[in-house]
Amino acid sequence: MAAAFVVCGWYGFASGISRRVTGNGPFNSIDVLLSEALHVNQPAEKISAALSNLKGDGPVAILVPQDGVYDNLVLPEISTISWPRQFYLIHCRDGDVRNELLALRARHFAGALVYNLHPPILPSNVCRIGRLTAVPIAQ
Amino acid sequence: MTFLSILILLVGGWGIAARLLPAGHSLAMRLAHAWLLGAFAVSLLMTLFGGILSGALLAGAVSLVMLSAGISSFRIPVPRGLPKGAVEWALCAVILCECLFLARFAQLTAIAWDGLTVWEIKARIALANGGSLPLDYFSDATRVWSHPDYPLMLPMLETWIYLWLGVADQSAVRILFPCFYLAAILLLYSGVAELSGKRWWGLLIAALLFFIPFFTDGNTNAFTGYADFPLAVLYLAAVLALITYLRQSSVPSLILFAVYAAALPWMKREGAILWLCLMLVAGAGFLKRRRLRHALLAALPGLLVILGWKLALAAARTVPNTDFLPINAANIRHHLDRIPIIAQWVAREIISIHDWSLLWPLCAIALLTLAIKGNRGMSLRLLVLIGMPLSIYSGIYILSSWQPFESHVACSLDRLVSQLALVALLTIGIAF
Repeated sequence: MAAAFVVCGWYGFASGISRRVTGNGPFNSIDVLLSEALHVNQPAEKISAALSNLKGDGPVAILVPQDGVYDNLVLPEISTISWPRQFYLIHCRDGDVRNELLALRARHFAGALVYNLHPPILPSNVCRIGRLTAVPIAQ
Repeated sequence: MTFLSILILLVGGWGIAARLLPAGHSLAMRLAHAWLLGAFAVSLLMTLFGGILSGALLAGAVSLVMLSAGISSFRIPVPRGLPKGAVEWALCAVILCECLFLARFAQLTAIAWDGLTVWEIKARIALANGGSLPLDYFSDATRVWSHPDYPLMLPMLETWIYLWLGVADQSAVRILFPCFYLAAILLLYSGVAELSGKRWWGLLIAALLFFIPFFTDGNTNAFTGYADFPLAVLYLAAVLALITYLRQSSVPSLILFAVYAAALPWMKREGAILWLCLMLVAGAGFLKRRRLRHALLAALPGLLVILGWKLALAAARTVPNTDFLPINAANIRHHLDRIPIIAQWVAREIISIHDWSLLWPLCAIALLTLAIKGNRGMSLRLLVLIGMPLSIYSGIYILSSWQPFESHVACSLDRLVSQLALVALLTIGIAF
């Protein structure tokens, strides 16, 4: 009985599908997920730094393509990093980032993270983190 | 600092275990209970003291209570001697190899989805607030996906480590999960060895835990930061404590059972269902022995945890969970057609060798064997303690609000089944 249990258990090990960390660090598990989606090393620390440079304590938003494919792991992870700011998800219609950013400014957002979209001509203080662009909004 | 925080937890748990475990208990049993009771105590103290203290004061106050509990009762159990014979030594070596392999595996395994977005996020936010979750978090509609209504045992344990480190560090906090795994090994060994009277058999059952792929190798294995495995270990401890109480009828074993039953809803929401099943089985025992006072004593801590948490959530105006439709006759009637589909999913899951090896078929045979051997009471109790939660877990998908509801089943059924797997392994250990 025990031998059969061991053999069948061994057969199940073949998958090995859990994600592996590549190093130590305060964000090393979040980084495993975010680097897959953003195609950049140590993204969590970079996002954290970008968010800490935003002025005021207003909310932040992530702009994602309306119909685009994006990893649903990205949003909660970035939201976790952005605490204590409120964090909104905005689907960008027709990829019109400029109008969305103007709308966020009117709503007193501190900044936006543009994901997998082509931002319009932006001020020089944007921060690019792989497929993500952090855009300060509050003056 | 991580090591120190774990040591303080263990010292406190060691002292609590000394008061509650029956006389003559083994060192393995004591260690397992020291971890589990220490974890429960730290998480409760962090939550209670977190309302009035923060930062170093909070860590200091919790440490003081834990160290006092440990030092006031630091008796070391008398070792029961070294393993006897080649079989016991070989099994010890196998378990040691498994542990070494898993220690390395756990070090490399990242905290996964729920581990990050439901549990660790709470610890991170609590640390930023000095050790307790701010009220804003519970009513933050933009973070409702993180389930602010889920209980706090795991997040508070993680906050405990973060508080000692002074920083939220995901590479440090993963130490918690191998500790729960080790506690499971020790509980299975000591429980089965004591109930069967055969130490080698206890060692063999403990060694078999490694060969349940879901826990050691799956996408949401025991080291990925999910609360399901710790809940399974607490359920195993509660079931063992109940068996001990039903054999001895002593007050300390009753308190131990009540404490573990209360820890279940504090670990995860499904813990309330496990608590209910335990109370039903224990209730039958109390009724038979006409021990109303014991029944109250067993139920009270769990009721306090369940109702206390409900009240706290209501007071914090927590955004409600929308995963399930309201429980009413109309909703149930409207979705009854889901039952055959859910039944198919459950059947497929429990015969999945890929996840469970031969655990569930052997568990069914073990229950039959127990009944045939004349131990019908034990067989019936274990059947209820495994079958009833499984039925409720499956049945609750009738009210899932996910579209399609099958996606809800697909992403959570295996984890719900995993919460009962250690008791199933114990059943095999008791029966054969």
